[in-house]
Amino acid sequence: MINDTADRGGSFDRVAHPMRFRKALAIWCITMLAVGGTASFGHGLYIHAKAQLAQLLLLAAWDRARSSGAVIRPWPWADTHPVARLTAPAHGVDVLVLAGASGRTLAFGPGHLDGSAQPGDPGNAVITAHRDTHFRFLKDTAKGDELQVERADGSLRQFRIRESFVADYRELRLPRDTAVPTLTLVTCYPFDALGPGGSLRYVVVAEAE
Amino acid sequence: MANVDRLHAPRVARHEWRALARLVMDSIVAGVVVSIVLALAVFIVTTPAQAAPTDDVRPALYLKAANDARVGSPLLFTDVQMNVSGMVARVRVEQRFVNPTAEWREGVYVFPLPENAAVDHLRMRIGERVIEGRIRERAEARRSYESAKSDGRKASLVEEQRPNMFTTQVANIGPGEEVTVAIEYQQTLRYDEGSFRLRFPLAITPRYTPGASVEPTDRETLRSRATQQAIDADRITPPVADRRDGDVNPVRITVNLDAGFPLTRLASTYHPMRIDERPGHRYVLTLADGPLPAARDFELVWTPDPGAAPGAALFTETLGGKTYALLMALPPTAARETQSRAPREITYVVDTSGSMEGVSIVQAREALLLALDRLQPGDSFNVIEFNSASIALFPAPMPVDHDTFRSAKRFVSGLRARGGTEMLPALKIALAGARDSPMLRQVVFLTDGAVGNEDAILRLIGEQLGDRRLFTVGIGPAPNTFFMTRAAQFGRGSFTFIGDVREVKEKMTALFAKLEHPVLTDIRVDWPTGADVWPRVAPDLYAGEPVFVSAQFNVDAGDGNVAVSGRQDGASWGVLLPVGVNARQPGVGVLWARAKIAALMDAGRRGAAAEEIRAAVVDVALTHHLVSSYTSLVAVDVTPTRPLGSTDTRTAMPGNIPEGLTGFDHLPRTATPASMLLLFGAAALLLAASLAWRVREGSGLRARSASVAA
Repeated sequence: MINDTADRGGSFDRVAHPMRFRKALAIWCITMLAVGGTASFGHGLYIHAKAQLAQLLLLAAWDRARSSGAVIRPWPWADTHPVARLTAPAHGVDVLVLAGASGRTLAFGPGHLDGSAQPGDPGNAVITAHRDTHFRFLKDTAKGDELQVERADGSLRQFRIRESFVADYRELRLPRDTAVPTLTLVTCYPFDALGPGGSLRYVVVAEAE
Repeated sequence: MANVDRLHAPRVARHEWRALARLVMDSIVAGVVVSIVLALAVFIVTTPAQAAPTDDVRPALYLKAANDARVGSPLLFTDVQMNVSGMVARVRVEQRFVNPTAEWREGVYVFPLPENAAVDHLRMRIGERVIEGRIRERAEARRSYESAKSDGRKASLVEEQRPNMFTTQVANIGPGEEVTVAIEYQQTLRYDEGSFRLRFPLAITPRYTPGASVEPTDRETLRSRATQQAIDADRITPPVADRRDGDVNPVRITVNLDAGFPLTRLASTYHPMRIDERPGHRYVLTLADGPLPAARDFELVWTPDPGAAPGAALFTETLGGKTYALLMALPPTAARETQSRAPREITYVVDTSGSMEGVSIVQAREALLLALDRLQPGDSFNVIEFNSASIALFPAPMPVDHDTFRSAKRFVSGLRARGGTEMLPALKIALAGARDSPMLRQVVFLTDGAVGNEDAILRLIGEQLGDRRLFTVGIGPAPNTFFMTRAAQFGRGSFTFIGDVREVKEKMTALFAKLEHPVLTDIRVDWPTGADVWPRVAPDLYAGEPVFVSAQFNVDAGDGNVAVSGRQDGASWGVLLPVGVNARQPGVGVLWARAKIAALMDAGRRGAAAEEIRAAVVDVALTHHLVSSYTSLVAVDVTPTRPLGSTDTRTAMPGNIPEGLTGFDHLPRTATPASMLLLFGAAALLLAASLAWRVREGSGLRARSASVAA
């Protein structure tokens, strides 16, 4: 391509500056690649950093919410707030769950699906998160593993994983009313796919003890 | 030298500029090519990963068994025929149960009807044969149905679960057979703000049944079990069909409207209809697009020409030596005092439970924002949202000022739907404090009413209301009309329904008129002596509402007058109607009985002795052939059709999730492009580094060879 460009160049370029022009183009390509590469790499890092850092801000909001009993926004322009704290002791996981499960919310933490029960209440509380950030640990969970939910009122509730399965989200039926408080954790599958956007979901169902 | 410079400079600059332009062009081409290559790479790398095989899929009960579940169930088709004349509608609902399977089936279908429907007729049709239903006490009707079912005889049973929710059961539908159950009811129309409204509910918003379970969960069906506050939870939470399998239960609607006066408007609010006009202010309406899935309430609205609009009317029917009368009287609307309305305390209570998710929460937010704009200096207000828990904007009502108003707007804009419907605690907060207050106190309650503990909530409203007035706003495609109208009645307020976000403004404006207009109180209706009148005490009226009272008296009570009077803002109003000259209307007797049952049941909710109420309801219901909480219609065939040894499998017929409500259908994407970005970022940086190294190597070589040549 570089040669091609040089050939199509005017006589002035070809005669006077063939090397200079080729070099300029090479430098330009390098700059492009460097800038693009840095941006892409940086964005990748940023996604992970945001997922981690947001949790710190959320923790502060959570502590304030628990002591005041009010709904505290973790940052002034936030359109969500923490609704529960989910821990998986065996997997060293401790994350704050946010209200709503929009793409924007999921960047900061697992999202509690609007319309599903509050975690710990009778009914089915559905929580979704990214398979490569907050819910990466689901890959290693097994039947019988313990999950714990702390709610805004300070109460704790123990859950135990009843089953895990893979399903196409188009065929997934999540029950709404369950008399036993149920926690359904949903993330994308397979865990190691490079790009986002598959239709498979990994579903972990836990019931209150 | 300077001249030469000046002479050459432009030429050189032009060349430099052209070179630069070409460089930019080429860079853009290079950039596009690089992006395309990257995008292709992404596509190639990610596609196989998505299609990873999943042999270990164990769907359990979270997955619908199979598509043949639909083939394996009876199907249902509904045909509704409404005949409207004067203030009354007579409606026939035909439910056709078709069994396409090779087994004997029993179909159980839970369906909604208008909250004031007086169901007095059941007819079961099997091929050419027709079997009439009879009214029986509930337990007796069920016994005769169950015994027919086990004998292999065809039978059907219609039970009331709520005044607006009924169950049809049809036993022993043979393979390939079809059984039609036709029920009929009578209802009075709603006349408000100068328009008649006929509402026919077509879907049930899934009900929330609070309270601790008193039974274990049924893992198979995942249906709600009885709870302390809703002991019949399993009977009021029918299964819902999954929308992704297509809609179930197509319904056909025909309305024969005999308006009796010229109309300025006739429209179906939510379903397009074809209107055929007949002579004499008569109309025939049919669904324009053929049968529709029963997924949202049907509403027909017609407005009489102002000159012809009824001001007062008395309809009568004579049955068994008794005269039954239905009275409608519309007080004149006083001139509106827009400038000076008294300051008041308004508490807005808004339902943000899971059943509101979708169109409903949007409607509720819009309605509330409009309501907030209506506040004036001097008013106090508060906003309470509730789902599994209640959150009040302020600990107690606050005066309207810049700050409170702004925080209210922010609070309302941020409302989202999730969780359960714990209504009682929210109403306790709204109705807390002194029973009486010098200030006018109003509570505006926005909800879809999708709860199973209506009685407990109504009792609380009745007990804690004090001198407040509670207004309900029914939200969404299929609100619980029984709860919305009765809560307004217990709250001595009024109600409105919003079914579409486009209606918010119109409906809320009408509600504001009621909130801000003086109330018509002390309504008295004087009937001939010895009349049995229901409701016993006529409720207060708000702008645009008529008095509706029914009475029963002896035929020989004579041709006296009925006198209606009331007080509004210090002025009194009255009208006199002669009993002798009036419109005869069949069905007025049934409506009287229905009004009496409703009033008796309300007395029971307020704490009257349950056994006495039951006896009184059974008495009037049996006399007038009416379905009630304590009486059911049952139709039983004489000869068995199901062969011995086969079984009659009970199947719950699913309803549709109301249109526009989301349920759990929308799972978000749960993977980030982070790994991909990191990988391609790293690859691009590596490529850049290697290119840079090569360029440096190249120029180094050239520099060396140049020095060698020198």
